[in-house]
Order: sequence, then C-alpha cells, then structure tokens
Amino acid sequence: MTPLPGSGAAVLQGESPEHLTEHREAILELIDSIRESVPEQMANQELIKLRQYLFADAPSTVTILGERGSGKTTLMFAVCGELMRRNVDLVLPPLHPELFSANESVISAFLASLWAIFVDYDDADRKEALGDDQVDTDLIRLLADSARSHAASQTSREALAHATDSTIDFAEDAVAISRSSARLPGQVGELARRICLPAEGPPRLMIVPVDDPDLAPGKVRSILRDLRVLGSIPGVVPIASFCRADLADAWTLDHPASSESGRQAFLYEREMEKLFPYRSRFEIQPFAAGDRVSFAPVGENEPLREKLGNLDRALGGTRLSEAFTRTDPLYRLPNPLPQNPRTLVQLWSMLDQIDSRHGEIRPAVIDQALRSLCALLSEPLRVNLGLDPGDDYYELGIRDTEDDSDRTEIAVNLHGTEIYGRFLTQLNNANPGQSIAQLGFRGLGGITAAKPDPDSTDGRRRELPAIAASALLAFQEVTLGSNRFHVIGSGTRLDRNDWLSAQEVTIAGMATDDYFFTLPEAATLSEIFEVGAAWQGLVEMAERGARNDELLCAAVVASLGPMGGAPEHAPQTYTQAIEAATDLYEQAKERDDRSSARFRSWYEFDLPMHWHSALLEAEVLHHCFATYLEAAEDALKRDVDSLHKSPRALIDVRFERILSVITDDEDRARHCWIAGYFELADALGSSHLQEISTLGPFWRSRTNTLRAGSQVAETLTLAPGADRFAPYVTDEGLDLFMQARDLLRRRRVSATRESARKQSR
Amino acid sequence: VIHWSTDLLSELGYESLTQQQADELLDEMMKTLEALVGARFVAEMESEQLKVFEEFFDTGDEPGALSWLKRNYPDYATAVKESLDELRRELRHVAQMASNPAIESVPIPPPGTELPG
Repeated sequence: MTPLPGSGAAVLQGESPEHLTEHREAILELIDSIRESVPEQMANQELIKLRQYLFADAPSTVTILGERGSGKTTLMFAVCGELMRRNVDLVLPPLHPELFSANESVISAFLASLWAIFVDYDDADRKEALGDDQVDTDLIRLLADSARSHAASQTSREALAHATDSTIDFAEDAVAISRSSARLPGQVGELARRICLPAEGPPRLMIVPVDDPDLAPGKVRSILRDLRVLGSIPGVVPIASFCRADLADAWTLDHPASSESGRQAFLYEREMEKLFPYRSRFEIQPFAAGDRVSFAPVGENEPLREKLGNLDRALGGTRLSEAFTRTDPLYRLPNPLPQNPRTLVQLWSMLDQIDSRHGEIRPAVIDQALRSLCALLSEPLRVNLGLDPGDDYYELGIRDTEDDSDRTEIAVNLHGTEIYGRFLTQLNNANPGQSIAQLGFRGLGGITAAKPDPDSTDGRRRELPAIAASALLAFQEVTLGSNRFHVIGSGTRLDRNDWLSAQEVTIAGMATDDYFFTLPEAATLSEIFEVGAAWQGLVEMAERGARNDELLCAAVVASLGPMGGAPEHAPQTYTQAIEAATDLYEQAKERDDRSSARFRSWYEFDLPMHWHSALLEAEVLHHCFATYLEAAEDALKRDVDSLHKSPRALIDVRFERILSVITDDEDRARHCWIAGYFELADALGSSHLQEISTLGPFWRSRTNTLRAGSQVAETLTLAPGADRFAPYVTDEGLDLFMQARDLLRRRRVSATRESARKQSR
Repeated sequence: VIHWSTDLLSELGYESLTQQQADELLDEMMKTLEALVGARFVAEMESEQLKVFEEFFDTGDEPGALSWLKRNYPDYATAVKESLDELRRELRHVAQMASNPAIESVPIPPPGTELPG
C-alpha cells in the first residue's frame, strides 16, 4: 500500500519535510555530541554512582515541542529514521504512553523493548543489527534484575496491605519496595553501560522515543518521573515530543492546586526545567502564511496554491485561491489556512481528489470536498465561540423544496457572530471648502468579528481573535462563494450600515446621516478584499482632494466589482458611470449567482443615495432618474411594504428616520438637507414627498444663504494672530469656548430660519 | 480693512482659550458671518432675483453666480463689516458674562455702539 503523503512510514523511509530539516539536523548534532561524551561519562564508576545518588546532572532528554499537528512526531520519526540508517545507535520502538495499560510505565515499556531485542529475538537480521550473535547472559541477568526491581517498585500501598498479615511484615515489605526503587537507576545504568560500550565497536546510545506523553492524563506524574530516571542514565537518550499546553493541563490534573496563587505554575516550570533542559528543547513553530500557501506534503510537488486554483476551475469561477493565498494579513485578517502540517496534509489530500486532471469529477465528490473544507476552515471559529465539542456551527442537508436546483441546503447558525468594519479616525476631506457638500472618508482599518457577550446586560459584544474573523469569512467563501449550497439563515456581512461610520457628509454646513456612499455587501474573504480595495481607492482620492463629481463617478465604478469591475473604457463622468452600471444591472437581472445578487441589491437600494441636489447638477439627476426608473421598473413594482423587496421602501425608511425628529422650525433649519432629495422622492413616488416639500424653503434659504455669504472671505484680510492665548486647556477657557461656539451655531440656525420665513412669504 | 485673525478673539476677552480653541472658534465665526451676510442678501432679493441666482448653481455656474452677486450688491463689504460688528458685540458679551456672572443682566450693546479694533 502506498503510504499517505506525509505519513510516518514515508518519513522513516528518509523523506523529511523541508520545514523540519533544520530541527532534524540540530537534534542529530546534539545526539552526536552526547554519544561522544558517553565513554568519558561511563569511565568512572564512582562518579556514576555519585551522579545517580545526587540526581545532579541535567538529563540527556531531547524534547520536541509544538502544537497538535505541527509535525512533532514526524520530526521524531525523521530523527529516528536517520539514526537507524546510520546504524550506530540502538533505536527503540517509539513508546506511546496513551496506549499503556494500567500496569505499564515508560520504564517497563523500555525494559520490555530491550527484552524483545536481546532475549526474544529470533531473526537473523536483528542479530546482525546487534552486531553480536552471542547470547549475553550477563545482559539478560541485568535486564531481569532491572525488570524485577521495577516491578517491585510499582507495588501499590493497597496491594501491600492486602498481601501482608502484620504491621511488621508490611513495614519490611515497604522497605524492600523502596530499596527496589532506589536500586533501579543503578541497574539500568549498568545495563546501559553494557549496551552502550560494547566490547567491540564504537560507543552507541540507546534512543528511547516517547510520543505524546501529554495525551495520557493521570499518568503524567509517573511518565515524567520515568523520563527523568532514564534521561539521567549515561547512554540513554529519551526523545519526548509533546504539546506544551496539553502537558501543562495534564500535569495540573495530576497535581492538586496549591493554596498559593501562581505557586502551581512555578512548580510546573521548575519541574520542566529539571526534566527538559533548554539546550535540548526544539520547538516547532506554526506555519507562516507563506509556508502554508506553498505547502506540499512530503514527496509531492504541487503546492496548495495550485490545488486551490484547480478547485476554482472545477467549481467554475469561484475565488477560493484568491481568498486563501494571501500571505500578509489584509484589513487585519490573517490567512485562514490551517497552521499545522497535519491538517494541511489532509487539506491537500482532499483537494487532490477534485483535480480535474485526474478525470471527470462527480458532483458528489465536489460537494463532499466542500463539506470537509467547511469543517476544516471553521475550526478556529468553533473553538473561539466556545462551542461544546460536537456542536455544529452549521448543518448540511438535502434540499427539501420544489425548486429544481440541485444545490445542497446548508443551515448556518452563526451563534450571533457578526463581522464589522473598523475605520480609522482620520477623516480625508474631498474638495475641501469648495462645495456646498463636504465629503469626508475614513480608511478601512480592519475587519473584526464579535459574538454576544453573555455577561453583558446591554447587548454588548465580545470581539473574537482575528483568526476567528478570517475563519468566518473563509467559511462563507465556501458556502456562499461556491454557489453550490442553498444557504438558510442570514450569514454575516459588511453592509450599508458599516459604511456609515466610514464617511462624514456635511451639506450646507449641516451634519447628515452619512448615508451617501455604500459598496455592494461583502460576506466572503474575497468580497471583503474587493470592497476594501474599492473603498481605500475612494479614501485616497479624497486625500488627494478630488472633486465631488470625480468621487461620485469613482464610487459607482468601485461598485462594479461583483460584475467584473470597470468596463474596458473606464467611465470619465458620472453619467457615463451610471450608464455602465445600468448595462451591468441589466445583465445581473438575468443571472442567479451571488455576485449578480450583490450588484442588483446595490444598484436598486444604494445607488439612489447619491442623487442629492447638493452632490449632482439637476441635469445629471434627471438623467439618473430616467435611467433608473426604466432599468429598475420591476424592482420598484415589488411589494412596497417589504423592506427587503422594494427600493422605495428602504429609501422611505431613511426619510422617515430623519423626518421623525423634526418638530419645529429650528429642527427644520437643522435637518433641511433632506430636502435635497426632493426630486428623488418625487421620481420614486415616496410616501414622504409632502413632508419633504415643507422643508424646501429652509433648504433653499440655507443653500442660498451659504452661497450668497460665500464671498465674505474675499472682503477680509487674513492675518496671523499675535498668539496671546493660554498654553494649556483650562476649565474656564473650555467653558468660554463652548458658550461662544453655541452662540455662533445658534446664530447660524436662526439666520437660516429667519431667511426661510422671509422667502416662504 | 478687516484683519481676520485670532486677535479678533483676544481683543474680545478670549485669552483664556488655547490657540487650538481660538482657531476653531474663528472658523465657527467665519461660518456664522457667512450665514448672517448671506441671509441678509437673500432676504433682500426679490423672488425673480432669487430664481436667477439659483439657476446659476443648478447649471453648475458658480463663478457666474458670484459675479452676479458682486454686480447687484456693491455694498457687500459694508454688510460684512456690520454683521461682524454684530457678532463681536455678542461674543464680547459672552466673554464678560463668563468672567463676571454678576453682569448677566446687562443687555448686549445695541447696533451702532462703537467697538474697539
């Protein structure tokens, strides 16, 4: 049978993963140096006894640390395989403490391995490997004595009490057990001397691989004790591989908590130092994003990047490879591929099944692969949500509808998780001071995910680590982006609400609701990258001081992403941009894919928010209305009472939100900017047309006032001040500042109000 | 000639502000001055004049609107000075009230009152 890529068998055959080569060579060098010191260490018997008595020397244990699946066992196998090929040391079979029976221990398994090698062997190959075909009776006697001592030392207090009739016998037997325990290191040391310094041939070591001692909770105390005993014996080199955090957990279970806070952690660290000296610790780091993208299992050449590209081709135009192969975090989203080689091997093998070069792929195979991909990519999210093991993040089932689509149904339960855009505080103002509408844009600082905070009484959310946000978007990349699943329930997305905090729009000096520029919703990694880049483009334009009409044109072009981006001849004016968008909208109406749905939603609901009279000239506005009313005729005929179906309803919701706070003339003067949408409200047949029209005089007064007053600066001579102000903020100064500012603002509102009254007369 | 600087504020009793606060307040003062002057002219315009004025902006001809304004309202600078005086009186009153709450009842000086500076 061909070994699985990356399996232990392949590694033992000499194929070492590239990322482990450095560690393997370093460990082999260390083992070489230990071997060189063996003759000297074993020369002085008195010194050996003293060492064993004092337990003073650092053990020779080689420690391999790393997360689960990071390649610890692979590295251990690679070292053992190389040592076996060199045929110098005696490499024992790896011990797996989690498979030990109740009576087994590391030392008993070690002695059993030696017994199997030196006593129970019956094949010529092994004899040859030992280099000695003579039965060494002294060695057998030593082994038997060691095994007996070890067995006696393991006698439990309960067993002793059960087997003795008197307290005197109990005490004597207890002392005998204790003596056995004390004798054992000396016996094993003598055994090691006999094996490691053979009568003929060079010195050799006994290599004792111990895999995952951390997976045997309840036995950790005895495992560590045995490792310390073995590691302290010259000639014996245990190689222990474990996950630091899991070992700490297992150790804690075996050690009742100390009353003193932090004491237990202190004791653990000291014990680790004794057992696993720093100079012989080798820690495997998680794979960096670049390594993951270019990962290929041992013996394979095609990296994951290419495998993902093959999947995109098999699925017909998905963007998985684009989403999963970024090596640098973008918008604080790290690469979502698994960090450990074991999972990467599984991912690679899974993707290998759906390589179209291997022949035609059945849809069921693709679906199965995508299901596995969902499970694999969403793991960090499940972990960070604190779900119980086995709890589903989502469910996949057979679609049970009359729809003739062959898509599989997927029920997504996000457990209240949502993603958010986080925007920078710096505001980049376009066209500063040159227009009645001031447009300010904030850069996209990052994307974060949050879950409901169970301790919060006001619905606050708790932010999840960045990897969880990436996992969420990667999961949605597969479920939504592949277009092969029918998703039930709402996923989470970056939508129009997120962009509100990314802009600050002031019209005729009035603060607005900042709902003018939005991009198509984004729910997958590739969509986030797409809209993020588009938004950053607008921010940069604003920073360069672009004119409002240039920004509006760019905002339309930036929203064409879902339909493939700008046409060959990029629109130069807003009117041209609207025509290009409308052409694409006509195409999107005929299609059923996710990208088209995103674009349709933007065109129908969000695009009209540009059409404010302070942003566009009347002629352009009329062109927009005419184009839109014709293109979106069907959308506008939808049920007006349904927010999700009717563009008119959504726009009316926005009007309603503003109009509902207006109660008197002062409010009218403050919020009259909404009247700049009068033409839009009229064109769409808004139910708020009448209310908006009552703000008309205020709006006209406000804009005319501003325009008529715009020449004030020309009559003044700007001069530098003499700088006679306070060096720092004082309560008195701040109070005065606030009072004066309030006065000036009130005077502006009253000027508009009075002017509006006069005009309306 | 009106010199537009933060000295306008320090002369009105605003020395307890920091330079940053003074800059911000001066900006607010400019906006308010524009609103007062603008409101004054809009109030004076006949409806026909307003229509002409608005048409300039509807067609994107802002420079044309401003030329029209200069032609039809040659006393623009005078209006600015009068509105600025009005604002200065009010701001001085606020500063005086803040430094001495006892004078709260003293009315804002009427237009025409001579102001320093």
